[in-house]
Amino acid sequence: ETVLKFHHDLPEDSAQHVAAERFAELVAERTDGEIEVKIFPNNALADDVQAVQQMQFGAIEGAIIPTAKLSNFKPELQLPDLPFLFPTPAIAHAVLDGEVGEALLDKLGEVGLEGVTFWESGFKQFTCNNPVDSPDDFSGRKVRVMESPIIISQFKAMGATPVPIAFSETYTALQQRVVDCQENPFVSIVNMKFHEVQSDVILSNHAYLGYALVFSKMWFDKLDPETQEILRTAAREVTPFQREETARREAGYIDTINEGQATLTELAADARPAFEEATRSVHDEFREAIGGDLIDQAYAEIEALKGAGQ
Amino acid sequence: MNAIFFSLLGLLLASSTPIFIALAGAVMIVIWLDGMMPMAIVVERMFSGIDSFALMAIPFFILTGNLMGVGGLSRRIVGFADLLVGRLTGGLGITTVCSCMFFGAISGSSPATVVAVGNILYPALTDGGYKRRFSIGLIVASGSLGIIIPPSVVMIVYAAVTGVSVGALFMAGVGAGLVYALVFIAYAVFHARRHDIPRTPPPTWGQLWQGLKDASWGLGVPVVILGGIYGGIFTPTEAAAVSVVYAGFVSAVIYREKTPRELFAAVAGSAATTAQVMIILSAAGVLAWYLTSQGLAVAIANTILSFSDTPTELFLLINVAVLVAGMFLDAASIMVILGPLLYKVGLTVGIDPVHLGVVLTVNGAIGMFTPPFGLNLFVASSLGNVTYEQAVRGSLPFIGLALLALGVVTYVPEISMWLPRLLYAGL
Amino acid sequence: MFSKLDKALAHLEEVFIAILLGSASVILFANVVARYGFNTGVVWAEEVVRYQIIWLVFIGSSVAVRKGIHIGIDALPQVLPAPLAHALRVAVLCICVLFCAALLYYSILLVMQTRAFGQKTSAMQMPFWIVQLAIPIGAGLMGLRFSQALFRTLTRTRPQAETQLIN
Ligand code: NA
Ligand code: NA
Repeated sequence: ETVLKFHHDLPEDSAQHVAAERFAELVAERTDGEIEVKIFPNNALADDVQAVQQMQFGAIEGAIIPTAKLSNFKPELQLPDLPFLFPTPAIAHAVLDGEVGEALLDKLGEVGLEGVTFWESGFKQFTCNNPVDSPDDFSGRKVRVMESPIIISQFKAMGATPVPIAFSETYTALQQRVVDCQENPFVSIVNMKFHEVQSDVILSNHAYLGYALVFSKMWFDKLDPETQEILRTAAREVTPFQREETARREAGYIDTINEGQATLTELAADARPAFEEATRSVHDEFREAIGGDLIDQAYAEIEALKGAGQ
Repeated sequence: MNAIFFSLLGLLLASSTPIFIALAGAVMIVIWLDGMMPMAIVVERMFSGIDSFALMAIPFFILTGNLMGVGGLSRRIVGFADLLVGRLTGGLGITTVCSCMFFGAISGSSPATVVAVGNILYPALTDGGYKRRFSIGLIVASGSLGIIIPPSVVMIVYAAVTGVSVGALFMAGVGAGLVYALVFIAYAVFHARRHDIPRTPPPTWGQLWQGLKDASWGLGVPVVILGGIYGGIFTPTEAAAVSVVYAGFVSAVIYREKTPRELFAAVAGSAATTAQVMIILSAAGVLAWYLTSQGLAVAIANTILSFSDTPTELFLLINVAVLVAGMFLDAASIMVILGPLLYKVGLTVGIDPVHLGVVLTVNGAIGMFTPPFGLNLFVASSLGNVTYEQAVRGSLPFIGLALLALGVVTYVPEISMWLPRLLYAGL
Repeated sequence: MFSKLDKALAHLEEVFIAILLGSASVILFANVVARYGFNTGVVWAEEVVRYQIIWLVFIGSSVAVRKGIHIGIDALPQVLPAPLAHALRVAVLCICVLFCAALLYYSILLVMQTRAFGQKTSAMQMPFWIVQLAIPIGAGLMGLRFSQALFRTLTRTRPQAETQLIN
């Protein structure tokens, strides 16, 4: 019997965790218990970047890792993090399940990972101590960011001062007003109670937070082809469920925020072009790192999907 | 293999092998014997065990403490505190506990509090007639207030793994911290009475004013730190660095009691102390990974929890389990390993998750000074001429007292819960 | 000659870790001033300070070995008769030397792997293997210090007067 230690960075009450559990069931069933998936939520074994390292030398066998964190290893993986790239969840899913996503997953082979599919935390939202209707509302504000070049650049483009602060220190930093704003998907905003210490939550859907499901290549390559296929198929089969779960939970998170003190406002449709304009420079800045061909291909697919009415 | 592992660990620890080598070495040997995983994990964990910004407060508070000591700030603060409460029975002991609460409100970490307060008050306590053993015990025990009084790194970890409100936890820590502090204060008064520790005569207004003037730069340290954090100027970790610069400035420019060379020596000494403490955290990262990945911690907890399903009994079992875990692990690791499991078990029997978080934090705080693995004990043994054994012996009565406080916090939930209930509707 | 080199190395280590700690404080302080006072600041401050302290810990551990201040539970050697305590000390130092040798070997392998995979740090986008180099260097220096202590214990020579930068 083989143990597949599976890392993720979220609590057990998350779409990622329940999806990982379903993946574990499928694998147990199809390998006749030959492979046991043991899930380690909450960064119990390592944080995301460290987990990738551990997969490179085979101490962790599987994980879902945010694409922004994978960019430390392969800059191309930042593509889904570009601000205002995907207009809707459906389009994000179609692009990541298509040729562009395939190309991104292939890149991971060069850094010791077997990329299989994309899961998600959904879109990211802004939270602030002031209403946000235009990019100017970020001008001169201090915004908590994680240490990711693309996210740092996104806020600089809007005239804000990005301040990298550890995820665990963010609540206190917001509460004491060391920083004015932050961005995260609803799951993290509600789990970390950021809405308790911010006056405004802006439903901005401004950028996508995708997770790549990966296996340790060193470990994966030693499995027989049949088992490899079972693992790949099972992970991909769970993907639609994981995304439905994200959407279903988002509705609940929105209810939670509405019950609290913070004001939840949706970014108006006619306000979006100004944001897209302001953050266009981020796309140009990272064009080289991500690869011009890949970006153009993503743009083309998105346009086609928009035309198809998705 | 687990039996081999624990025997090895025990053997290495008992043989006087440096603790960091015992922790990481035991895992290394087991991996080598078993061949179950790559040896690189030991190296990676030793690096990652200390790769956390929150931990960076430790070296800065160590350095602040040393600079305040060398530069003459601490001496003036203690002098002033003595003027204020020295005339009370157990006055200096009370000052120690209150200073720990004070520094606890500065730092989210317990060893940092021990250093900051210990450097100042350990010599003062022993000079003032308190027994050495009592003094060191009082400091290692009160120092653990640092993780109960908000801000608290350990509570943040619990919140992160369970999804409980950080703000509510912090507020709940206030009541629990007060109970914990009061028990120690009572003991300090008792100790002073039993050993007839001389009280200082009440000072004149002139003496008080002079003392305040002398201590004003030193008293500025907590003002700068607290004002900075609660004024939204910097994060708690940054606050530690700001306090270094402040203490350095006062020592080098205002007081000028020591030469630049002597101040530099204080920096070098603080760096060595930092390494001494944090290399153990680094190796503890290896141990935590081993226990987690092998499912050992969960297995042990599950066994204990299979004994009962009433909140009262369960709380007792949880406390015993965490107390035992705290003998070998630091509080943050306990939260990561046991937090989610205990949270789930607690919910099924109707234990309030905020209350549980506070109980676990207080228990984790006790673990900071229970042997064999207690960060406060290690840090304390870096204070002037104290050995690890002396720190352990000194801590024993305080472990008993802290358990008393833990019992009160566990079985009188109102103590911790009234403040968060007041501030957070719906709890 | 040998002891001169040894002293120079010891001095270098201590100055190095002191500078790491001092400059880390100043960097964070300057960043707070820049952020609060001038609404600007660098985004790599947190990262560089974290890595400075990690280097401090691994190099400082070697200093701690030389000074004999690493924390251990040394009740046993105190109750053992002198010859046995001596034997125990030799055995423990052998364990320490072996541990450092193993840590040195496996950390070099890990650094080489990290280098091959081209991992960058998050904020500075600097090659991560350079940061990780702290472990093999620290393990090597610690191993050297433990070996010296072992040699001294076997030949029962007292350590020579050391540069007393720290007290
Ligand atoms: Na605190
Ligand atoms: Na302990």
